[in-house]
Amino acid sequence: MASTALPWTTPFASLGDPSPLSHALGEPAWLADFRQGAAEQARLVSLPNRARHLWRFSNPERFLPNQDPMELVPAPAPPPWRLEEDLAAAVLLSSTSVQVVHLSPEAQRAGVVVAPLGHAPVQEFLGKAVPPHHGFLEALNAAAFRPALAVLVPAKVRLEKPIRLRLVASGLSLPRVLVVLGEEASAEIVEGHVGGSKGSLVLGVTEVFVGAGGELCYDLVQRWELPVTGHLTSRIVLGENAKAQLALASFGGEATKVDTGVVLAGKGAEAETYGVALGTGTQHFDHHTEHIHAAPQSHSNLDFKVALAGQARSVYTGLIRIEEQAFTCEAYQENRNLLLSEEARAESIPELEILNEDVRCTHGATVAPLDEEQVFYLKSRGIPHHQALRLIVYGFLDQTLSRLPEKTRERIEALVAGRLHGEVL
Amino acid sequence: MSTAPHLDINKDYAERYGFSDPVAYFARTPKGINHEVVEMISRLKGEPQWMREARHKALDIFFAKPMPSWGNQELLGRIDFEDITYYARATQRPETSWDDVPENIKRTFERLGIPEAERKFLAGVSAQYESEVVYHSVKKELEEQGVIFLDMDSGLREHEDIVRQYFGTVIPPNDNKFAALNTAVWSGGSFIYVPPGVHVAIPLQAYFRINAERMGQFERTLIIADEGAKVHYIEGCTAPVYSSSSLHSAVVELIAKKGAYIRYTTIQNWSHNVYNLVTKRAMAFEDAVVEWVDGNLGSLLTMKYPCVVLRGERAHGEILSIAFAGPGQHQDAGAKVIHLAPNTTSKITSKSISKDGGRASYRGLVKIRKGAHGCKTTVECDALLIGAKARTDTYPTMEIAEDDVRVEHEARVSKLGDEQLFYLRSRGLSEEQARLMIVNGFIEPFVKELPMEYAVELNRLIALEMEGSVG
Amino acid sequence: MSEKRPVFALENLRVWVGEKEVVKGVSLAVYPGEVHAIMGPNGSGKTTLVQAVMGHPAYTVEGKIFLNGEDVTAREPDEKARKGMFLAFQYPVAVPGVTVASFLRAAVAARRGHDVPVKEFRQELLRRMEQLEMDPAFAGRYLNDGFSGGEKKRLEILQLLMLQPVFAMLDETDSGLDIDALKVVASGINAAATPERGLLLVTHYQRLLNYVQPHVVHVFMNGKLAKTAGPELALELEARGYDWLETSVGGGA
Repeated sequence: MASTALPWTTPFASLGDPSPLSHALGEPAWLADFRQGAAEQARLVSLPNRARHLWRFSNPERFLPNQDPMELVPAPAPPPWRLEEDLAAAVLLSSTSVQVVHLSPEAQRAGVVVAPLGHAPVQEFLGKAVPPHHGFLEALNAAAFRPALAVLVPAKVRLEKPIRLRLVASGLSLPRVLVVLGEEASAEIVEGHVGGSKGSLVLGVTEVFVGAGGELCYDLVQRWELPVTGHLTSRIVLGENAKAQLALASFGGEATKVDTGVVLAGKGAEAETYGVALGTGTQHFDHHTEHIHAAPQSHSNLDFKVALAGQARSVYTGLIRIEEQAFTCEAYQENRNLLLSEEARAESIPELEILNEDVRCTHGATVAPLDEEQVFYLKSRGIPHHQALRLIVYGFLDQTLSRLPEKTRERIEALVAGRLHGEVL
Repeated sequence: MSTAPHLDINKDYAERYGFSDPVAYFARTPKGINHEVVEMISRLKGEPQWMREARHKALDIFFAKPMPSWGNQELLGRIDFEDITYYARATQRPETSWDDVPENIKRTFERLGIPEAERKFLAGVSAQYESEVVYHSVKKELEEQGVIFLDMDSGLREHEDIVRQYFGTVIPPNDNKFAALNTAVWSGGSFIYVPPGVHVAIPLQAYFRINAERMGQFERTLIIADEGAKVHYIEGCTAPVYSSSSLHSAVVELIAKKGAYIRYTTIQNWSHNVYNLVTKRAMAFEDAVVEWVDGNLGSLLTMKYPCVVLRGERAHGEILSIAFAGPGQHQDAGAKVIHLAPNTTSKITSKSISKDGGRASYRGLVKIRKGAHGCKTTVECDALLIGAKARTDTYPTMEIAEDDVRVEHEARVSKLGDEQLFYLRSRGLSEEQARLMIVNGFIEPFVKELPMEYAVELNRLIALEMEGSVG
Repeated sequence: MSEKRPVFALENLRVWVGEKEVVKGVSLAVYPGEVHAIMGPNGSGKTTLVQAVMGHPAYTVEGKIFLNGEDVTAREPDEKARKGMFLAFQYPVAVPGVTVASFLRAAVAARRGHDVPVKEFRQELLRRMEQLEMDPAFAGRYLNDGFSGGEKKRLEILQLLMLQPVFAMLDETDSGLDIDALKVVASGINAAATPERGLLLVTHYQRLLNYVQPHVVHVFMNGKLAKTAGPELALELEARGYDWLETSVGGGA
């Protein structure tokens, strides 16, 4: 099949046949089929409706590629990755390549698989958490994704050290990550987004499955170079009594839209999402979080903090949904926004959809400026103005970050510090 | 504010549709909506040209506008605009005294408690029956103060200059599809003007009800509180159960000038087949205060988001609402506050009860425009869930384009507490009594804002709604 | 005393929380005019026992509960209350929006089987509140909403006095009270200890028993009454703790 014209106006006129891409990447038949199906979906799914609130504040056209996503464009090799911490595994993803930089002997012995998606037995999982019809951009990713990585942690394997993924943006990237944790397995995975230059566009999808009794810490850290535009969709599906802690940190990029969520599919599942975003200049952040309680006795908590300087803008939409049969659930959600300059803007839409009566839910949202009294107090103790502001921002974010495991917290705090000193304040 | 209304009126409707013959007396328009129906309504009322043209223009907007993309799409989709009667009247002209009101109508009103209310403390009663005002009285005292309290049709006849100055300035017909429909076919409603500095000490009140099958009701209310004036308007609706759908689509415009105060209290208990799609908005100028107190029971689908636009510095807006959604009902209610001026403040308190398959949604918007520094706003949503398949949603939106502001939103959802039930029952209260007591406690912050009569009526309605909720 | 009929009796009462048996066969009888105390270590299930007797829906009950000679085991909590059973809660829940006065008026009407005229009710309420050194403004506050621990306990005793039960259980009514409040609450309990009424005090400490003299003291441990004796037992427990009984229960069972 040759490339097919798309029925709507997009900067690129067609979506090519995925088979040459599949062939070039040496993929098995099931994966080629998946791409074919997704390409058909992509031709059916319409562009996001701007009247719907999820896209009200971000123009979807900003995230459309200006080339046929099937075209493979040569990209420079990513800079080498010097590992500084003790890891279970380290994987560098760029352009079309998946490079396993490190896999510890313990992880190997335990049967942990870290491999290009097409080479891992993940057929039954692919597209189950973020199906191609999730949205237009997700359908494009499903049809044309690369580089793609699968991480499998077998049942009962408890990894002490984290797995780090570094995804380097360059040109048009459509990375896809699929993680499967077996029953009672545990792991921490850091998905770090870096790199990019003017014109870089990232359309990423991450799917995570945690088996019954499994425990996962997933850190989604975005620190692209400033001109990058990116859209990252991720879903974590939790089995019975499974636990997930999702740490979101967004620092870079010109325009970033993150659509992330946890589906509490098994009874007794627990989810926590803690996020921080720090923006300045003309950065635009649009974060959407979902906690979908699909099973009884599931618990979730969410705390998302945004600090904005310059003319930065943040949109946060968060949904807690409790399905009809999901009895005796608890769900909490909080979003706080700190505006450090007159030009900064924040939108907050925390939503609840509760379909049964046996629940306890709260959510809260605030938008507020710097407290001049706090600034004055700190300065009266001899602290210079900018340092005082930084202290206040630290304090604001720390209430959220302190809920994360120490290592994760340290890692994100170091990034906050770098960004605060360098650019924000 | 200029004297010309903000309506761009096409002048050629009469030519285009050829309405030139005088309209004979008729009791109701034929079912369906078209320019002929609009012309009939306007001619029957003997309206000035500008209003007639405003109606036609609005009808074109209605045809052109899409249905709202939010709310309950399924229920909205079931509205058949061609199966609705847009105008009917029960008696030919407004009555001046209670004695002259026809007996059957009186009986219905008596059940609603109007005469008693009148005797007790009400200033005026403007009771609408089948889209036409049948009974109207204004206390002498108010007249002496220069307060105008009329039904909207009389308001247009007797005070055309004021109506023309303000009509459609708060809610233009192109605001939304239902505002356009109302502008095209409006009938009845209240018109109130309170002169500068006048404080109306007693609440002004009107009762509305839908009273014929498939009969729409499209009241248009306009309240102007001039500088430093103060007024409280109360509107209550109850309606008996009908077998087929009915559309109620009112437009309420409030203008609170510098330093003025308006409170608008509504309790609606439409029958469970009514679509209640209402646009309510207030303009609050410098130092003005506007309060919406809004209670929604009954109806099949209610979509109502009372709004305050804070246009002048230090203006304050407050919206306090409760919604009760029983089986098969969807209360999609909420609030909007637009902060356009600095140092304006607002508070939204929303309480909802979803019971046995009922669905209550809070949909809200708080917007702070750039330059509106020093604003403060708090939003509090409390949802109570009772029984199986109850559903509640919270869809608040906060758009903040200014850093020197404080915005807070909080929402809580909980079910009727087992421990509360046990505690009350251990004191001898039956399960039904205990449930009712908990629910009454839940809505108490709303009820205590109502005049006593309304509080009593609301508690009675809640008790009725809660009947049979045990087991 | 024993010739009279007990106002309250348990016959081999067993209580389950889900699959777990918490009360494993308790029998006792309280005669008119008697004050019983049930003491026991924390977590022994004392609260479960009295909540189950009152009819809390979380518990499954076996055995028999008698009130004034009538088997009320299967009765709903409100039926029990109307028949004259009362439980002063350890942690009374808040019911926001419902005033103390309106709640009590409804409860008094339920207990007495008829409405009480507002004026008469008000007078009685104010008199009782004065007795417990409560501010009259208290009547207008929302039920247990934002109350301090001490205020909640006073309100429980106020209800005891207003509802005039046949038999009352007081669950840890002394906990969380300062000494002055304890004296006030104790005077309320003593006022309620009439010759017709039976009282059952559930307590962890001897403290309250310094002010309210029990006739009979039971020790509740491991789901059973480990020992029943006169008031001297409370003093012994104060001095020796509960451990010495642990062995005797283990050996005896």
